[in-house]
Amino acid sequence: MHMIKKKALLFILLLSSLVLFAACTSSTQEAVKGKKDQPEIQDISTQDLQSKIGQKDWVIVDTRLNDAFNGWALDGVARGGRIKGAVDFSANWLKVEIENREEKLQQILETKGITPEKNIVLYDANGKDAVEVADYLISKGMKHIYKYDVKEWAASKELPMESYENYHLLVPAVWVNDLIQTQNNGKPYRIFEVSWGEESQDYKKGHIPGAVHINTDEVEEPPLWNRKSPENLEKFALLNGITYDTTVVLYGSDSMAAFRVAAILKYMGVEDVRVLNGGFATWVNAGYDVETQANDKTSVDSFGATIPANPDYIIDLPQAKEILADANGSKLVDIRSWDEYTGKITGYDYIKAKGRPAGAVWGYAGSDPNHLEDFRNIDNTMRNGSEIINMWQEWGITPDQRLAFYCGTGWRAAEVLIYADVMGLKNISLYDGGWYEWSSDPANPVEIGEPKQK
Amino acid sequence: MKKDAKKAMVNIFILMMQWTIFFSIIGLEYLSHKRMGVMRYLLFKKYTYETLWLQPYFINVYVSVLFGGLVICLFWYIHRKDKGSARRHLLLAFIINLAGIFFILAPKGRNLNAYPFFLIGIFINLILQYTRLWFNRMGYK
Repeated sequence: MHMIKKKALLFILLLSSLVLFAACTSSTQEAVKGKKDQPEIQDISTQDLQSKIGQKDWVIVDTRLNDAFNGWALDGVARGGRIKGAVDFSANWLKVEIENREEKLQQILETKGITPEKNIVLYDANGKDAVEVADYLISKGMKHIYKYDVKEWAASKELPMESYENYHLLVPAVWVNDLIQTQNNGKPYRIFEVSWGEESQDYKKGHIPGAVHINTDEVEEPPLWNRKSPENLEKFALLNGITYDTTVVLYGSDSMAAFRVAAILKYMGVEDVRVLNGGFATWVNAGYDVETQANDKTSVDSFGATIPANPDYIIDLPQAKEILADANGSKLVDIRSWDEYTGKITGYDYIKAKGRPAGAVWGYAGSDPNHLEDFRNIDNTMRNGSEIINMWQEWGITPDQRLAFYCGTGWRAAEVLIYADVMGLKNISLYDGGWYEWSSDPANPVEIGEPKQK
Repeated sequence: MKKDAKKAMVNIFILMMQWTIFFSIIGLEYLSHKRMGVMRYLLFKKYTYETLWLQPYFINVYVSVLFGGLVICLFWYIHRKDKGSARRHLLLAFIINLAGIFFILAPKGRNLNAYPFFLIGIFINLILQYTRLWFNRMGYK
């Protein structure tokens, strides 16, 4: 009896082991099979890549930081910029924490023509970005994926690369860090955190080392919130230690205020104005130090030039009317939401009138006065310039025209002006008074409703 | 007893309204230093009202009205020998009139972002105070 029990137990043990072994083998095989089912990320040679550019069933994707796409030579590449014809889908976008991120990324893929039936070449310079994006695209059902090290392309001067004419206006965090470390090689520089208010909570929470806070009320004034007079702008510059040849770096938690001040500084005549692309989040994500101690302003005695040195950079009502009068050669471009443009809402508590200056064309913007989604990537860096130009062309806005951008009081329009400047557009300006000034005088012609034609 | 309870309730209600108005306007002024939209809205209102009922002529009218109220309240306070809450309300009305005059005449008052709302608040509080006076039957037992 005892022997039978022993044998039964041994048999059960053996059977269990066999079953377990079989199960393990099966799951391993499935894993291997699953991996085999996943598309392979192939490498592509420079020669092959060159032959695919321009082909409709191929899309070349830059997966690097937006700054590299714009023109900065980052990660050891010999030349800055992007492969000519490439679109952008930065690996950085996969890390952004925002609402509805997946939905937005899907929209981005569609906008840029990154679709499952295409052959997709992902390139980077650090060996990581392309793989991250590839994994994401595979999870979205893309199959034909290639990767490429753009250092090879950049090393050959005969291979076409492109960058924005004034890409240097938007700077990456690494550039700002280098500026601080090298103290701009002895040349004067200032870093400013820009936001509204005498005290900035964002500044107090943490800022770039050495940065000083600028309150936007230092450069604009009521009742219309236009830029201050040249005399008062000079006082502002002297108080903040800004001369015409100071390298000025501007940033904010939201960059709109920084772009507003940037436009005014360029109008004044400051030769080297830079805005941190993507705002303070870019600095934090790059892992650089943040300080909380407030820094005092250090003043200077003289600006060194007559203000304004670039009077055409910001225009007023008479010039805005001139632009409207020249319908073919010029455009007054409305940088407000569609609802504001069509007069459904004013967008502001303190602007009662609805509508737009008669003859103004819509230049896209965002969902409300505080957002500019149509011009920004999801990490708040500058949107692809080609996409911006395409949006504008729908509305008859072309780069060769004289373009004046306006919004309610000049903030959104200032950001778009700087982007237009980055892209190298020539005859551009900011109509400072905007809808607030235009609507203040009942004699100014106004339109409401959807435009009859684009 | 019932009459006293009714009187107390009305007094408390009016007092609460007065304090609510006062603190709301203080809160608005505070927020105007914290929120750009609030600041711009208040300044927009200030500029609009300056072309309407904040012109120098109207300011003189307001000061005159407040001064008249001040004199009447002071006269009544001295002349009447009544004791109790009615006399207290009269004193408070006097103080509000005086505060209003100081506020309008003070140069720094006009620098407040919510200046028009402070003026509106002073006059509403004054009307409420006169209502309390009337309700407490000033001069009647």
